[in-house]
Amino acid sequence: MKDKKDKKDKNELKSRKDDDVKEHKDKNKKDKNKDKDKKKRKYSRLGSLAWAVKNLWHLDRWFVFFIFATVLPEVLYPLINGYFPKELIDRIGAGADFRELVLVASGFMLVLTLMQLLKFFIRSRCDARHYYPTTIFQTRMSARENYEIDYENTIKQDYKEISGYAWRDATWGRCALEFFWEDMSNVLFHLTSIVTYVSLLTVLNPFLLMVVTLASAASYFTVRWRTVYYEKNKHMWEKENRKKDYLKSLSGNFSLAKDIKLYGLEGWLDRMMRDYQAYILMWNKRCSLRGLWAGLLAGLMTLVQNGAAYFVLIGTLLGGDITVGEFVFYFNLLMGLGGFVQDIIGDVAHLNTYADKIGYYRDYFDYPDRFNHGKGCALPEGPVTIELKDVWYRYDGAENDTLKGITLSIGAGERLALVGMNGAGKTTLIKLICGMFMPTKGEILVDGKKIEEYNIEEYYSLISAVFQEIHPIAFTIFEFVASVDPDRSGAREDAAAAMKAAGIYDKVQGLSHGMDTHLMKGIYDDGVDFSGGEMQKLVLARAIYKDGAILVLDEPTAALDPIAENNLYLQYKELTRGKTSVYISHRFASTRFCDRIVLLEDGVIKEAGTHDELMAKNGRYAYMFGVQSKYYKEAAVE
Amino acid sequence: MNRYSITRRTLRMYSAYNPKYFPLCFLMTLFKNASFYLSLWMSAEIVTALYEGRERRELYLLVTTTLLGLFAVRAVTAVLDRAVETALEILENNEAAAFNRKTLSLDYDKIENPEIRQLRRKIDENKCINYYGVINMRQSIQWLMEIGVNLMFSGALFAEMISLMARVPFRGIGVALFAALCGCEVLTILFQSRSNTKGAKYWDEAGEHMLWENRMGRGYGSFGMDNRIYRQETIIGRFYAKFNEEHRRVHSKVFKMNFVLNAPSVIFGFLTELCSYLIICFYCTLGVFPVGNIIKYVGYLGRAASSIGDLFQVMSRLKSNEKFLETYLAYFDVKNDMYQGGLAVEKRSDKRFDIEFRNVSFRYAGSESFALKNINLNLKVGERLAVVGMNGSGKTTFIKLLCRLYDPTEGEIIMNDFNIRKYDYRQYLDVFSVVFQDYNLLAMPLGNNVACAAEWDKERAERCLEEVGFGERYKGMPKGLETPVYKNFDTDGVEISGGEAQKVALARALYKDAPFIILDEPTAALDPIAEADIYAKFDQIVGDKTAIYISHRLSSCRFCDRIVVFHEGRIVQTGTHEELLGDAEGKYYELWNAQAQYYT
Repeated sequence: MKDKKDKKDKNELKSRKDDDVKEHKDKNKKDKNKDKDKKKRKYSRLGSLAWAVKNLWHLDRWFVFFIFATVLPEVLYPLINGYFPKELIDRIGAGADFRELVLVASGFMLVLTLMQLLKFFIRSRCDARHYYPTTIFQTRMSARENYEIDYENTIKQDYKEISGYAWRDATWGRCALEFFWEDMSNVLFHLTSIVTYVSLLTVLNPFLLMVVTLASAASYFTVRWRTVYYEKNKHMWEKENRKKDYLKSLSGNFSLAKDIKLYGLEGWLDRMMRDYQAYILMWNKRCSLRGLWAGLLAGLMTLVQNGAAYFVLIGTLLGGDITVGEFVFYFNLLMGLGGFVQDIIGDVAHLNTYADKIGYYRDYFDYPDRFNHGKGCALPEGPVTIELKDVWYRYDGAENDTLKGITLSIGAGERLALVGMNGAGKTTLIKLICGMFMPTKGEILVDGKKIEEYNIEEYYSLISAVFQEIHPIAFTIFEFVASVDPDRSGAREDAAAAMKAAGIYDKVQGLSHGMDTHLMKGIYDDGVDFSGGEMQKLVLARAIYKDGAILVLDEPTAALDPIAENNLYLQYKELTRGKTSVYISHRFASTRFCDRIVLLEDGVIKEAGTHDELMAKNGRYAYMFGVQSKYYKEAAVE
Repeated sequence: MNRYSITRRTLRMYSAYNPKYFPLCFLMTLFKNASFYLSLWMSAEIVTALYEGRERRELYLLVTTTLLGLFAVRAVTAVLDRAVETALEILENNEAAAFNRKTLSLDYDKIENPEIRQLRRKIDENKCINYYGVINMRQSIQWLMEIGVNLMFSGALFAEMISLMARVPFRGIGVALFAALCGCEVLTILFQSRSNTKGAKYWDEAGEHMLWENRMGRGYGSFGMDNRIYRQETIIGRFYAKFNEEHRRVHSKVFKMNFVLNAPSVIFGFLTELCSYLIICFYCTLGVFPVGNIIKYVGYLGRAASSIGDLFQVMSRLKSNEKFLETYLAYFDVKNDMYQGGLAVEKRSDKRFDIEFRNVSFRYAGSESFALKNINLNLKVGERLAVVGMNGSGKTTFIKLLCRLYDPTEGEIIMNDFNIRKYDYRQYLDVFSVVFQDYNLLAMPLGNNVACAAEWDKERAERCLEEVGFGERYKGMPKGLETPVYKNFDTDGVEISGGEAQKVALARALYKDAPFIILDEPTAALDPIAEADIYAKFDQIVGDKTAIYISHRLSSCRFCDRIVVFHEGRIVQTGTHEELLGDAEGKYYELWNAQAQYYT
C-alpha cells in the first residue's frame, strides 16, 4: 500500500519535472534573444579580476603580496618531495653506507620542513588578512544601498536583480571577493608547475606529454559536460531551494504561529517541505549521475595515462637510459603533472565563475543615480513652499501612471490634508515630495528650486516623516529617536520631550534601561519588542525630534486607540508651527486641523478646499465624510 | 565511558534519519583508502621487480593487472561516492523536516517563549561557527572512519614490515631509531593537542564575534526611506567601524596563533617522517627487504603517524562539540505542557457553542503584572460582541485565551459545560475563525492562502473573496486562484497592498466557516468606503455565527449587540451602545467622544 503511494508520488514528481522542462524549453525559445543579450558579458573576466585585485590593493597591500608569494613554496615543495626518493634509491642501489643516507635524508627533510613552514606561514597570513577587506567591502555595499544611492533605484526591478546577485554572492557560501584569490594563486602555481614539469619531461620523452595532454583533454571535456548540464539546469530547482528556506523561516515566525495553529497549517507546511526536498533530490540525483560517469571516465583516463607512463618508463629503463631512482622521479613527475592539469581545469572554472560574480559587484557599484549627490544649492531657512507642476509618476514596470498631472502648490507653513481611497496615489505623492522618487514628467519645486538642485542628502535634512511601514531597528530607543544627531548636547532632553509629546514616554521610562533599552528582543536578550501602537508612537516621536521644515505624516494613527489619536489631533497645531505639513489619513477627523484638504482619486486631484467648502460642494469628499460619520451621527441622534 | 553520552544519544537519533548513510559512508571510506594502499603496493612491486631485473613481459603483465585492479577499486569508489552523496541529502532533508516539525508542533506559548526562541537561534548560530552541532558530529564520525580504515591497512603493512625485520637481531641503531620515531610522534601529538585546545579558545572567541555580524545583519535591516531621512548611517556606521576593527584584530590573532601553535608539530611531524625514512633505509642496507619497499613503507608510516595524531584531534573535537549537541537536544526535549483533553467537540449545525469566562486572570511568562484580571464574561450564541479599549488594555490577550493559545493563569473557560482544556485541542481550535491584527499571508498561490490547505474549493473561495470586497481585484487576476501572492518566487506574482491583504485574511476566515468569527482591527488599513462596505456586509458575513469585533474605530460598535470595555486588564463596562453612552463618567463615553466629536 505504502509502496503504491510512493510510486504514485514519484510519478507525480516525474510528470511535474517533465512539465517544467517543457515549460522552460518554451520559455527559453521565447527569451532566446533576451538571453543572448544576457550571455554577452558586460565585463571581461580579466578586467574583473584586475578590478578586484585593485580593490584589495587599496585595502591591504601586504595581502596582495602574500597572495603572489605563496606560488614559490607551492611549486618547489612537491618538486623536491618527488626528487627525494630518487636520491635514496639510487644511493642504496650503489651500495651507499648508512651514514651517507642519513646525511642525504636529513638534508632533504630540512629543506622540505622549511618549505612547508614557509607555505604554512604565508597561508596563515593570507587567512588572517582575507577577511578584513571583505568585511569593509560589504559594509560599503550596504551603506551604498541603504543611504547613498537614489532610493528610487532600490525599488526598480533591474536594480533589485543586480543587487540580488551581488548580495547573494556576498552572503551565501563562498563569496567571490573573499575567495577568488585562492583560485587565482592556485592557477598561478599550477601553471608554473606545469611549465616546469613539462620542460623536464620533454627532455625525457615527448610521447609521454602527448598521453598526458590527451588524457587531460578528455577529463576536461567530461568535467565540462557535467558542469554545463548543472549550469543549464540549476534554475530548475533554484526556486524550490528558496521556497524550502522560506518554509523554514515560516515555522519559527511566532506572529505566524497563531495563524498556523488556528488554521491548522502544520500538515500542509510539512507536506510542502517534503515535496520541495523530493524535487530537489531528484535533480541532484540526475546531476550526480553525470558526476558518476565523469568520475568513471576520469578513472579510465588515469588508467590509460598511468599505463602509458609505466610502459614508456619501463622501456626507457630497460634500454638503460635511466636508473631505477630516475624511474621513480619521472613517474612522480608524471603523476604530479596529471594532477596539476586536473586541478588547473577546476581552478580556471572556479576563477571564471568568480570573475563573473565580481561582475555583479561592478554592476552594483556602477548603477547610475539621477538625483544630485554632489554639491547642491543652499538649503532654505524657515518654512518652505512646495510646488508641484504637472507631476506624473509611473512605477517601474507598471502599465499605468499612478499620478497623472498633479499641479499643486503648498504655501510656507500650510497644513495640507491628503485624502482618498486606497490606491489613489497619496503615498506616492508624498514619496515624491520627500525626494524618494523623481517625477516621470513634470517638476517639484521646494522654496522655488527643483529638488534636483539641492544635494539630495542635504535635502533630506528638511524632512520629518512618518511612513506607513514601520520598522524597528536594533538601536536603543534613544538612538532610534535621535539618530539624526545623537551626539548633540541636549539630545537626550529633546528626545524625552519628543517621546512625551508622542505619548510613549511613560512606557519607555518603565523599561529596565529606560530610553537606553535596545529595540528588538530577537537581537538583544534584554531588548524590547513594542506593539504596533507603541511603535507608531515611537516613529512619531522620531519625527517630532527631528523638527524638519517639512512634516509628512502618512496614516500616523492607524494602530492608535481613540484617546491617543485625539491627543495627536489636539497637539497638531503646536507640532506644525512654522512647518509645511502634509497629513494623510483615512480618518476624516484629522482634516479638521488642516488648512486645506486635497482629495486624490485615480492619480488626479479631484477636489481641494477647506472642510466647510468641500462639504458645501457636496461632492466626493462630502460623500466619504458622510459614509464615515454615519454611524457616529446616528448614535448622536438617538 | 560516560564522556560521550550526549554524542551517542544524538548519533542514535541522527543516524535514524537515514540508517543507510553511515554504513555506506564506511564502505566508501574503505574503498577510497584501499586504492591508495593498492597503488603504494604496486609501485613498490614494480620498483623491486625492476631492481631484480625481471623479464620485460613479466613486468608489463604486472603493470597491466595491478592497474586494472586499481581501476576496478576506483570505479566501485565512484559508485559508492554517489550513493553516499544521495544518502547524505536524504539524511539532511529528514533532519531538517524533523526539526521543522518539532517547531510546528510546539504549543504557542512555547513558540513565543523567549528562552526557546533563543535556543532555536543558538542552534542556527552554532551552525555558522565550525558547523557546531549535528553537522560537526557527522564530520567527526566520518573522520573516525577514515582513521580506523587507515590504521587497519597500515597495521597490516606494519605486521609485514616487522616480520621481515625480525630476521635480524633488534639492537643498536635499530632500537635508537625506533625510540626516536616514537619520541617524535609523541611530541607531534602533544604539540598538536596543545594547539587544538588553545586554538579552539581563539576560534570560539572569533566565532562569538562573528555571530554579532550575523545578528546585526538582521537587526540593521535595510529600510531605505527611514535610513535616509533619519541618517541612521551615523549609528550603524559607528557600530561597523568598531566591529570591523575588532574583527580584524580577533581574526589576525587567530591565524597568527594558528601558525605559532602549529609550527612545532609541523617540525616534529617532519622529524617523525625522517625517522621512518632512516629506519627503512637502515634495514634496506642490511638487506632485510628490497629497495622498492622504501616507497611502500614510507607512504604508510606517514599515514599511520598522521592517523594517530588525528585520532586525538577528532576525540577532542567530539568533546568540544558536546555542549553544542546539548543545545540541539534541549530543543527536541522541549515538552508541550498544555493539557490536551480527548473530548470531541460536538458538530452542531445550529452552532450552539456557549462560552463562559469564569474569573479568568492571565500573566505572561516572566512578567510580574497581570495582563488580564478577573474576567467574567458569557459569550451568547449568535451574538455580535464588540471589544474596545485603549492600546495595551488586554483585548488581544483576551482573544488569545479564548482561542486557547494560552491557558489562563487563574480561573477557567467553559464551553458547553466543560472546561475547554478537556476538548481535543485541534477540534477546539476549529470552532474559531480569526483575523489577527498581525495576520500573515504566505508567498503562495491565492487559493492556498484562502483555503489554508494544499487544495481549495474554487466556488467557495471565490464566494468568500467576493463577500469581503476583493471581487474586483480578483477578476483582474489572469491566473485566478492560482495567482501567487507576492513576487518572492514568481515574476507573475502580485504585490498586494495592506488593505487588500486585510481583505484576503478576512476571506480566509470566512472560508473556514467556523461557529465563531473573531476580527481584530480588520479595517485599520482600509479607506472609509471599503470600511463602510465591510460594516454594511457585516451581518451577511457573520450570518448566524457568534462574532467578536475588536476595533479602535468605535463606529463599529453600532452594529454590535453588546460592547465590552477593557481597561488595564479588567472589564470595566458591559452593555449596549446606548447604555454605555449614558454613563458620562465611564470609559466608553470618553473613548466615543474622543472620536465622535469630529463627525457630529
